[in-house]
Amino acid sequence: MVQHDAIVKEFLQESLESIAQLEARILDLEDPSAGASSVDAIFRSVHSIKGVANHLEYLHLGALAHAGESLLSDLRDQRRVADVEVVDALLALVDGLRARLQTIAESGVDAGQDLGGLIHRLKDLRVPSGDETWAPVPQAEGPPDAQAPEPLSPEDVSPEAGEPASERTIATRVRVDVEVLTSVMNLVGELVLARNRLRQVSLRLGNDTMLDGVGRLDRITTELQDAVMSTRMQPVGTLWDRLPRMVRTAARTTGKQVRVHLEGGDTELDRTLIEAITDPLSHMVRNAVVHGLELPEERMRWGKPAEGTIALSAHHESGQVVIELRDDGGGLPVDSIRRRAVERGIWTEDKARTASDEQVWYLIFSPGFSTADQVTELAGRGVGMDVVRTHVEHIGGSVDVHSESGEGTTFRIRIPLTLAIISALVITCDGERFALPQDALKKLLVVRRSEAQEQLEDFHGVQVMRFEGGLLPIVCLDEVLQLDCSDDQDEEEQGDLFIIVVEARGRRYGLVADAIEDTQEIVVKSLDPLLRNLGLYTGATTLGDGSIALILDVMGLARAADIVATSDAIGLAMAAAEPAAEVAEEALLLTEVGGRRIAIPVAQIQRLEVIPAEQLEWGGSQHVVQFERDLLPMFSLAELLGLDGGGDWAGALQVVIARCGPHRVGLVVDEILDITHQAVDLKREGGGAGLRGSTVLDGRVTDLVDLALLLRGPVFKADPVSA
Amino acid sequence: MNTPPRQVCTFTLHDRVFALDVAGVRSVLPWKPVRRVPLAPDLVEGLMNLRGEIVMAVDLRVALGLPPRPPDARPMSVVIATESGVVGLLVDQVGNVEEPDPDAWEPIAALPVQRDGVLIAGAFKTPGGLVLLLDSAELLALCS
Repeated sequence: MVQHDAIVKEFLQESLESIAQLEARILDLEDPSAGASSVDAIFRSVHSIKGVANHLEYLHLGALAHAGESLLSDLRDQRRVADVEVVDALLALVDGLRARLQTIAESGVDAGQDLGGLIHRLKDLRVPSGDETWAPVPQAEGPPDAQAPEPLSPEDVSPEAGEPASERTIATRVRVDVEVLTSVMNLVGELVLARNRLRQVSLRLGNDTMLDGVGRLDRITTELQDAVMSTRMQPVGTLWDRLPRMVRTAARTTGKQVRVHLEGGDTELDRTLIEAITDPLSHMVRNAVVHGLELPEERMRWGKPAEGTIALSAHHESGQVVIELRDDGGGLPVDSIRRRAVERGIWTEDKARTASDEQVWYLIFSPGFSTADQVTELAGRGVGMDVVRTHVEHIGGSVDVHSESGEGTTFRIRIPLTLAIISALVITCDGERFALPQDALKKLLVVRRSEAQEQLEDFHGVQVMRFEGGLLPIVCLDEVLQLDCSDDQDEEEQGDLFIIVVEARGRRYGLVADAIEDTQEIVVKSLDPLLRNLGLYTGATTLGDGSIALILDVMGLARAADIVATSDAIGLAMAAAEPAAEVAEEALLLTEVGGRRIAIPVAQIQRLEVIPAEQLEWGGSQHVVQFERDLLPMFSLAELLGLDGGGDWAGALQVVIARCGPHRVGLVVDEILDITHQAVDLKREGGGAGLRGSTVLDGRVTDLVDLALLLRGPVFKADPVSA
Repeated sequence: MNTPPRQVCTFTLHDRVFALDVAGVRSVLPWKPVRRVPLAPDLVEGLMNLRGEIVMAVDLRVALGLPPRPPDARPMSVVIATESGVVGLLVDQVGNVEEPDPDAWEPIAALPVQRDGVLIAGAFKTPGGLVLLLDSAELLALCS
């Protein structure tokens, strides 16, 4: 790496950024509706590169920019039409500029591939005119000499000259090194941990003054965390920029006509996630062109416009970013996928016949499965969608697919907003602590060790347990990680076993641990490749007491325990078997609401918060609070249940943040009492809107809430608020 | 070995003296608890918390094929850092920062330890015996 003057560095960075946006604009030229604004914008970028390049004596670069600028001025003055040839040449210009800028960034020298050919190509496309003012092209590898491209005018030297005022509003922005942001992020991470620790201590001491102070620290930390997070955010649009060109290339190679529709480019996402999603998304977009869309003739036969559409959109949804890729092609070829599944030995003939269309769609995510009858250079190399899925899951996301025959295919990628800080359940196994990402968590069950043997059954060599009318494969964390079982036999027989029902890629299994601690915000630290490649841990984190916990990879554990195939076999076996009703213990949060005891399943709870009433805002007809970059609808649990009391919305509100499908809501309760593990034996089922029934817990009548039922109406109503 | 380092940090492993170029050493730490990582390669002792930063601890005895450390031993660590990462090397005892005489360096071919040749960048004579210089970059490559 060569040392650069600040000015050179700035020039290189700005130029690379500005040409990153050029491609999309150049492609706009082909669209007659786009108007002249694109030409102007492209012209300005190329012009300012030329000016500064000449000023800094990067004369080859300057000559190339000049050739491009001249062609662009023909376009701008409407002396030349932007046909395919021109667009191709302009795209080549972008590549040429980029390559040269990168060479300069790396070696500090304006040298490299001969630009003469490209310059002539641009020149040849110009409309011949009388007063040809071509600058002599410097010899590509020769030293810049007196034959400088053209005398510099003052206008050329200043990149801002001639630009409209709207492009000059840069003063409020500061360029910050990503390294600095990363270190600030790390420090905030430390602060979160210190806060967690202080909170633990202050809760134990129970001193009111201290609790007040800690509460304040708590809120500031959360706000600071959000603010710092926002500095790492980048619009998804940076990703959009490179797609139209790719689509164009793919469409040309395959003889298809494609219109690209992009939406939600200003949706923000952590930059590391944008990087991580770039390749998978590019792959999917190429696939959509190559495999998704039909050829123009075929489309006409089906009565569709010859030009196919590929629509990409991005939006926020309950703390996640959803990227949707839709094509209006023929949909997934369900029959040929079924056939191929049998050919490849992935499914039996029987399974292929009985499987639902949905199961068939998901087959395209299986390793080595390619739906294209023809392997092309663009896509369909047999490393398609399974690699995409692996990549997306690696960053904690998921991919869904939906297809309508003849209408098209829709892929939906869900990714977390950020990877840096996640909510996780801390569990213990053989004295070691592990963190389990909250996203994977479905339910917590408690089983007495003495009864565990009766509850667990053997299914083709894998332990399973009856759960919600099905069989749940069981994975013992200590077995799969080969932890030492130094406990003596007596201890083994006593106490409880915790079974954490987790879900990975649509398959559920139960993970057995010795104890469950609590849900925390953890700061994710990456692991060295040597450990990452084990496929068992997605990272590590430091806990409040300074100890280290490994973050478990839910899918990796399933793979290591070899239950993936079993889980599929169970699916088949269960289709025939009768549902069984077994009462398993469940973890419940006990609260006091309007003088009654209300229990909420812990699995439906994301976390507990204390939110001062002053932070409440009124959105539509609904109390809302700003929470982790979301507007969180707030409900009084008492009101929802039709109980007296509660709902005065004053002071420090005890809030249960709950998840209900894709939504998050805040439920205000009078008091949070305890978390208990109980086999719920309902004394009375139902008993009012949103209640599963009543039972007796610890000697008191307790109503068990079913949040999904309770919130169905209100959340639907509140939806416009969070939109 | 290109040019021998001016200053080295010495340490012992199984009663033998080794050294690293100080340029690659970030810090030297007394014994710290190490969080073991189930199913990790033998080389990896576990993870250490260095003021909030999580650093992988590598047992240099294992890396160099030396006999294992007694179970009750409390190894110290030498934290090395390069552009490709940070790793804590567990050693028996950290020695000093020394400036070996440029003439004390031995040609590498004459080294007695052949099988660890990859990791060893050079050797220099001291009154106490031959000190082997390890290559930080090679050690880190071992961990990736």
